[in-house]
Amino acid sequence: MTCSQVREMAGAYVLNALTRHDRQRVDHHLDRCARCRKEVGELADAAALLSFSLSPAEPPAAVRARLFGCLAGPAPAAPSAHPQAARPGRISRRELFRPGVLRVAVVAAALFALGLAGGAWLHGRSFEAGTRAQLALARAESELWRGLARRPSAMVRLEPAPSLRHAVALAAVEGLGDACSIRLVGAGLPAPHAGARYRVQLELTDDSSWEVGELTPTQTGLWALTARVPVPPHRIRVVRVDLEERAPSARGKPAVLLRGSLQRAGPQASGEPGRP
Amino acid sequence: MKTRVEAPKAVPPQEAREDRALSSPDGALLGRIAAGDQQAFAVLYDRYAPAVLGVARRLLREREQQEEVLQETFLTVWRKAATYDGRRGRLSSWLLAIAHHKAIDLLRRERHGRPVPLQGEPRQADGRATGDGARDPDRAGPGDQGSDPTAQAAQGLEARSQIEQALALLTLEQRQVVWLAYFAGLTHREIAARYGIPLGTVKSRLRSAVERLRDVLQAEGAGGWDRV
Repeated sequence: MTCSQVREMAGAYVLNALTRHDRQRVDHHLDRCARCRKEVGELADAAALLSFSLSPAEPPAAVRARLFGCLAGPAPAAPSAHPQAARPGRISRRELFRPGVLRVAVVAAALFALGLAGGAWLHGRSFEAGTRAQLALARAESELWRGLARRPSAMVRLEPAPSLRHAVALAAVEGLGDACSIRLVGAGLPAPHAGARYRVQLELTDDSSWEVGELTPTQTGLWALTARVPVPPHRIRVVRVDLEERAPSARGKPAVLLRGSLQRAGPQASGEPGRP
Repeated sequence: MKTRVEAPKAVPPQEAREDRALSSPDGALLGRIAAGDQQAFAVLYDRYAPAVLGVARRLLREREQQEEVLQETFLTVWRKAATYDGRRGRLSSWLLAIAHHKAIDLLRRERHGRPVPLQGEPRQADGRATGDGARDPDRAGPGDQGSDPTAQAAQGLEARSQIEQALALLTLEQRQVVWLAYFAGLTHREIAARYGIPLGTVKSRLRSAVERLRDVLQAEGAGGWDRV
């Protein structure tokens, strides 16, 4: 099989639409051709987008046990799904932020955004812009989960200011006694201008605030931060991302770019848009 | 039937490794999985099993089949971790592709000799049907959670919306063939024969569709997703 034949079949290959025989022929070529392998690899990543667009499902514990039963050697213990679920006094609404519920919230937000975009949809490109925002969300969610070892006790979606309509950020909070671990991933955020940075701040229930740190770019074009802060999760009211000048002389009031509330009643984990 | 799968090289799990595993990027995990580290394998499983099961649930009706795909996908990862080639795509892409491939295999086996059930249709951006029937991946099968019809309808609506938004990036012709291939499990030859489209056209539409998705990702500034 030649390179041009492989390229012709590459779409069908990454979508699993080849017969077994055709697939083996393409595999045979890819084993030997670095250029085609690279090109097909990029297409495979793009095709995975279709799988990422599907709702994840909670795997039954029995499957996990069965799987590890098939492996040689002792099976590692399953991580506690809700390490703090039985403890009172933690985040009172943590159940509302379970990933499954978050998924519903995210999808509800997506449907809402879709509704908002409905008028402009007919004009074509606006719908695509809305879809890009959804893709940004899917990528942020994927990246967030990549960095999480277990289900966090709370998750929140940070809504963007109107000036950043394609941006989105997700934060996961895990309680660690009197402290917590926070992971935040932002997608669709442009690089800040020279001399500025994305700063993650917590607004606490006693109206004080805590600076978590700075978002740094990932190799995938996203922005992320993982940090531990000496604040128990139930004291966190809002997670937000500001754009702040680095130089003290240029520092005015930072612009609030993304904002999400952890203390909101109801199943929606999303916060209110900030106002720069 | 339970089969025992020997690790490529047995390494006893250690408590001390767990913390490192929890924050490991996929690539580092895979290296340890290839060395037989079950703790790393557990981290990878817990990270991606929901997405893998999500793929299986959208393609297969029976809960047993869905769980078989989940289990077999991760057994494949366990067995083939050492042979994974990062140049052929990200680890998550590879893992989801394995899941999709296994689900498609079961789907094709199930419908062997029978026509593809026409339970749904890809829709145009305005919600009209394209006129090309295919198995609707969003339908709630008997293996789905709960029996509340409202909840099932809502679940289907949510998933449909997400899939349609991904597909909305494509032209109608591209959307049609992607739907038939990816969600209905037809091969490119079957699509050509069934819909009277020249095989070369099917191939080029599938390719241009995936290229379109790739271009959108790259236009977002990602420059391609990371490789592990």
